[in-house]
Amino acid sequence: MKWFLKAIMKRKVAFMALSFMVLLVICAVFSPLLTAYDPLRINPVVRLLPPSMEHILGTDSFGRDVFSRTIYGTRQTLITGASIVGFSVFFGVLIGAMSGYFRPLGSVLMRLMDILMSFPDIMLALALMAIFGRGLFNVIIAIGIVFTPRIARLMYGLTLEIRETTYVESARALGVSHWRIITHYIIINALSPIIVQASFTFAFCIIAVASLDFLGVGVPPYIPSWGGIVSEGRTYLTRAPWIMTFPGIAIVLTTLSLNLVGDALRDALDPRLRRLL
Amino acid sequence: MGSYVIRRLLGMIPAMLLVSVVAFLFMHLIPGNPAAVRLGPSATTDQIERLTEKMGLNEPIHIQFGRWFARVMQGDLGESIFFQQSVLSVIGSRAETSILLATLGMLVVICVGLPLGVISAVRRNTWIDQASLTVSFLGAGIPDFWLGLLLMLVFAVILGWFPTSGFTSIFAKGGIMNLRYLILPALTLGIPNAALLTRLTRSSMLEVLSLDYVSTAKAKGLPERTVILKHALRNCAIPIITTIAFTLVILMAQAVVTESVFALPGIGRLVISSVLRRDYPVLQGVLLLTAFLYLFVNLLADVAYGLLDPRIRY
Repeated sequence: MKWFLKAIMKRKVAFMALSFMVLLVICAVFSPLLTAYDPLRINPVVRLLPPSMEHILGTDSFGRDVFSRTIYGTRQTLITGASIVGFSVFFGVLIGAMSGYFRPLGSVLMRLMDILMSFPDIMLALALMAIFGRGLFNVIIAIGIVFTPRIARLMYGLTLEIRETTYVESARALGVSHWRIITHYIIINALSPIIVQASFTFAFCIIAVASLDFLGVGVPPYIPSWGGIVSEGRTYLTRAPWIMTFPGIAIVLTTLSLNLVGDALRDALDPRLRRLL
Repeated sequence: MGSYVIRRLLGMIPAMLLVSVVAFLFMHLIPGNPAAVRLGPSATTDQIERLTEKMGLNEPIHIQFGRWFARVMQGDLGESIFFQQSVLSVIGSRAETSILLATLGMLVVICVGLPLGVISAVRRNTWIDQASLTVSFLGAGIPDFWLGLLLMLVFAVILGWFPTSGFTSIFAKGGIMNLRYLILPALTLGIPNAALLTRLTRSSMLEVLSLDYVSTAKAKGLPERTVILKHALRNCAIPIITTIAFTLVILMAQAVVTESVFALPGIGRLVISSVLRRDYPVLQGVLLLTAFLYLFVNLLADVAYGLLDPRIRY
């Protein structure tokens, strides 16, 4: 952790990106303390007000406070994004490591991953959402399934490399169980590229989730989500452009920060990864 | 070369079969009986039973798949639940918008991404390079729907240069001028992908420019233009062609979002409304067609390698 902070401090941009991430987490954790209005409270008297002292980012067509909704949207975004990354890293690493280690099984599983990857991301996500129906849990599963093959691909390649190393060979000679070799030798040694890939995946996830919410097939519209607020703002683009502006900026800054932190992590963990990721 | 293409085409069959299995199973993952889904909530048990029989749903699953795949190979993708007409004609009636949009988007990607990448590699570490790197970094982080809304706000609402939304066929009144409806959508679709192409072109050019034969070409006094375009750019054609080929598939898929932003009557919007209407046959059809397109583009890219690089012999 210490060396990571050191590496980040050396780069001004990466430091700013990391600070922004910390700020986001604070917003997500302390949303109720940071906002004066309930993000769900409808108040038609104050609908479509431009930014002012009372409503610093204005109000939407239901008179809901855009600032409150954006802050609560942070919570929504981070929880969804982290869950998807958790899902796809868990299953991706498991599938990739098993496929790389047990070869005949591997070729079948990896073939399946290739097939999943031949459907474009957004199409696959939409098709899965059509089956599962709307809702937060379904969004996590659908986008998780879309990103799992990529992590699996990476892990598969890494496993093929690591299983040929002498330390794995010696472990095998000592009679260490297959399961222990996979968890304690292969996965442990593949962690740095996986962590870097996870931070890039996080950025992709945030855009994917926001796109589903924007298209109206993600979480139900009353739940404050960045994509959902932008979608609301589209209807009132001419009358109230502020509705779509701020959540949009939030998405851009978040994905940029994640990419920058990912870049810094990659260079700090292992500069050779530049060729791989 | 010819025999290679034939071999690759034959090799595509198992891949198409596997993709079809996934798309077929997709229909069977839907909770409930497909016959009941098609008839809607007001159907009687008797009606559902008769349709189940008619659709062959009581047969073993591999026989169902065989029948379905045979029909798909003959171009029959089934019937839309909502439109009550064949999926292929539903998709066909929206193809014009999508094809034109993808073509214009591609034009943006190539005309912006390629020159910008070459210039930043040649003028490395100058302000042009820095600016194009920053822009391409931003391009990767900006969600396309938001970019579309910003472009719409600035160029359609504030400046009024382009229409905000909708599209009429170029064969209808207005003719080719109707393409102006597609300019902002094409930019929305093209800019983020152009950013990716810029980064890729830059890095492959940088690798090639440091090679000996480029120095030789410069040393023997060839004009810089010739060195860059003929000697250097040609030798990074392969990664660039691959990226451009797959960008085509990405553009077709991302059109889902862009068409929704600009309310264009294309295949992408059909997908969204089909998700909301639970019109599964249409979704299955589009899913299958995009996956086939992906496989086909894969093949085209491989064939292009052989044409571009005489060292690659199949």
